[in-house]
Amino acid sequence: MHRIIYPQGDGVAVIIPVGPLPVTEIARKDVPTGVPYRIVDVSDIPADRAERDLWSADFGEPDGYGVGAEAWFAEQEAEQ
Amino acid sequence: MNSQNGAKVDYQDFDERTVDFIKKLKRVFADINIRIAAVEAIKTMADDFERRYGQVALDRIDAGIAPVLAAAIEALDQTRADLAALDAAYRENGIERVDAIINPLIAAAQAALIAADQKVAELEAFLATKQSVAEKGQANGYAGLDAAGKVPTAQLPALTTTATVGAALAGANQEATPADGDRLAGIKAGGSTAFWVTLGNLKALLKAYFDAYVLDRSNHTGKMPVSELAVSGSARFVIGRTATNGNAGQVLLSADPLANSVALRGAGGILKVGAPEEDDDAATRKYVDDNASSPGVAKAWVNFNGTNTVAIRDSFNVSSITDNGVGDYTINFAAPLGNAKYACAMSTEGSTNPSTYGTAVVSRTASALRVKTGYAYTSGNVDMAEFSVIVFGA
Repeated sequence: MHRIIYPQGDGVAVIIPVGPLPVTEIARKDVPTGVPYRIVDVSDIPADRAERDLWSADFGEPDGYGVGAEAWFAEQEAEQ
Repeated sequence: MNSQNGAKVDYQDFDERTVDFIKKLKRVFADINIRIAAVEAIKTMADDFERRYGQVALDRIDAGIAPVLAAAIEALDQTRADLAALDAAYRENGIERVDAIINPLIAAAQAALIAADQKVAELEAFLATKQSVAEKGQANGYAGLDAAGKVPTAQLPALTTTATVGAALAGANQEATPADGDRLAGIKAGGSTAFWVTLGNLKALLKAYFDAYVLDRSNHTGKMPVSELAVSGSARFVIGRTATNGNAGQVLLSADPLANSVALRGAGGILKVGAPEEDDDAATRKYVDDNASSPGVAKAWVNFNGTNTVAIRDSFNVSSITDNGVGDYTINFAAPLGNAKYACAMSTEGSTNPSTYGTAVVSRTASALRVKTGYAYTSGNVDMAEFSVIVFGA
């Protein structure tokens, strides 16, 4: 299983994907527009949430950038 | 000399005239014997000709021998007349003793003639039943045999024409329910070589053909397995009726519906109905669309674990949730709602005291809903072991 992480303020947001869409498409859709993201394994996410607000990650080499839900839905509409 | 009846004849017992008569009579009968012998020879020759040449012999007898035989019979008749005249002349002179000699001889000659005539009649009747060799191989004649003892093909009619074969098939016995072992005939491609195949083998061939093009029935128990439905591109579908414009109505098992079709699982995992091409189908599509988008039906829902490793237990119309921090989550919809004026209901599990925790909507769009859980009387967020969110709207 994968998780999608992206920078959010001083911390990290973690996306938990579900459904038939490929994880890359979910990343593009659910990561805010222009924000870099990385796709990591679920085991890379700490299970201890005691210091949840202190999580950080390196986004120097992102797997992609989000386009945002609105733009993503527009793309899907255009392809049909 | 001995007479016909066995009496001894002595010329010294007769006068000169009688002796002269008897000598003439002997010559006459010698002539008769010669002619009878000739008739016998003719018969023998005719028998031989018939045996060897058939109708040809009969024809030759009719043309050459019969006239000779007729002449011989005529000569015998003349001799009989001469004898009668001679007898009459001697009777006038009182000579009657010769009757005992002449009459048996005449009777024998007549019997010989009658026998000869009968033999000739029998021969002619026998030959009339035979056919001339000149008719061999001719119209209305008879067929000959070749060196192998068989009738030459030139003298046989054509046996295998389309007409004769067709007539033979038309006259064959009809079989409404042939057995698997029954044979069906055909012609091999590219030639005229005939062959046959059993009905059982033909059924096996047809089964393999249709199985390859329709479905594999090896595990078929009466219901068509979805895995064996026809595949077109990435979409599995069932072809329904053909619309008037020629497009086939389909029930798609994936992807978005085509016109006149229904997708059981369209993009986003929802039911979709394609644009109808028949006016009277529009009401049906509207019924489906209205119910699918009914405001009384939840447009999205999710149940997830907010503690430890955050994970979604189950959901509908949700592509993901975003863990923004402790007790802070965003519900991302797989398909956007019609607007952001939707209602949501939330619940948490983690405490038996309902007044301990509370939930709140932080923000909303048509595409996502951000919520929080926290303590009811403080400002701190808290992760809950079970967090449920239900969305109703347009």
